[in-house]
Amino acid sequence: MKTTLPLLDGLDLLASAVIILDADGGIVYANAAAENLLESSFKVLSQQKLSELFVNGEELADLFYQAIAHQFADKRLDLALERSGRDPLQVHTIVTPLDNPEMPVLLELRENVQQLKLDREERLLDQSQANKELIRNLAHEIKNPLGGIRGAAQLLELELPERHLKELREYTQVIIKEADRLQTLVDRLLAPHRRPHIVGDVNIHEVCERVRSLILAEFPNGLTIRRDYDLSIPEFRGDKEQLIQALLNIVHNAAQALAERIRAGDAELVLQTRVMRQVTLAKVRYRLALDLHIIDNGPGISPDIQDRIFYPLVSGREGGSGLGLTLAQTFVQQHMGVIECESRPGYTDFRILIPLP
Amino acid sequence: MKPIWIVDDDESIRWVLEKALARENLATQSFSSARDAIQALQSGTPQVLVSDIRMPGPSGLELLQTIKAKHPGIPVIIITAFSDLD
Repeated sequence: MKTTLPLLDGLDLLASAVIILDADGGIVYANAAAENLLESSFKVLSQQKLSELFVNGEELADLFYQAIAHQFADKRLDLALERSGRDPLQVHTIVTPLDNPEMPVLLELRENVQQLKLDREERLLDQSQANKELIRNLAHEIKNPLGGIRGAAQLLELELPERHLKELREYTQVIIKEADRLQTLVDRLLAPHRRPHIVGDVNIHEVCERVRSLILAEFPNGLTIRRDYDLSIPEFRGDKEQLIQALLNIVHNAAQALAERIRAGDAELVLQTRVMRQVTLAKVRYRLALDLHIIDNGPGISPDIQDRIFYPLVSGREGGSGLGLTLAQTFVQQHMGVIECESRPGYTDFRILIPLP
Repeated sequence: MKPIWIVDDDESIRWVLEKALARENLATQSFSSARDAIQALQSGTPQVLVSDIRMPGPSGLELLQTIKAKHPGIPVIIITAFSDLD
């Protein structure tokens, strides 16, 4: 019962899960965060032993016995604790022996946010890989029949009787034009895989300045593009044209989302460059990376598409092709980088991370 | 005049090519795979060969190599809907 341990009540205020164990590994105390993390009430937990909590609890049990034997002052490690039927818990674990025979071991579990983020990124990466494969195959499957449809319509047009040629050609022309429209769409879906990757030394600020002037030429009034550059960022090997296209697509989206504020005259875009140290991008760790932010004060991305904005054919804009961000992401991925996005009303931040030498 | 051979696994593409060539009074013979075309080469040759690249079985490029080795004089036109061949 918690009431028998009044001194521990303050632990309920902590965000870390705290569990106190008896000499047999039985749970004598669990704070509110622990109940939350383990999705069980203390009442249920108090009937359980540490070894029963997780499918793969051996490592944790070892630590417990070492703690009982006072083999260390405290021990920290990152564990993925598996529970049947649920996602594994990614936790930073601290085991501390206590000088109290009734409660000899204190166990602290903190959710490992970094690991969760990595897992999520990994899933997204796999998914985007699978998507790309699907799109490619589908696009190719569409091209052949499309060739047949267009060809047959062209042949039909040649067979049309002279007398009605004018009226009847309208029909064949609709078929041909619509086939061409699909063909263009399919070509655009395939485009990122087809463009050659031309590598040279890239100065990211040249890329930013180019995009900035292109956008300002299109939106001359009501839009401010503020630069916040870290000029010490080194050049890196990459395809400048691809990066311009990637950045342009993102900034152009932002400018379009800012339409209302542009009319009001207070639309603001920020291009911010920074370096980031010790980053993991797409499962690989880099010492240094470019951290480029494109921040706007527009209405934000609608929450129902936020998870899918990088998927092809997903667009929040009427008439949008839904290919801009897919293309941007493909190009950034070709530079071993990633694009991340955070958005709420009044603040949208697209972030391009690319490893630096 | 010897016929033009059309090699494509897609029936509608074959049909379009046959019709288009027939309009110009050109005789055609169609094959749905490179294997069939290679086999037919034993008993005859085309005037021109038009072939797709990606087909089940041997590819159009393999067919091209076979023809170039045995009958270097026959013109071959390779067509493909696959615009990225990486």
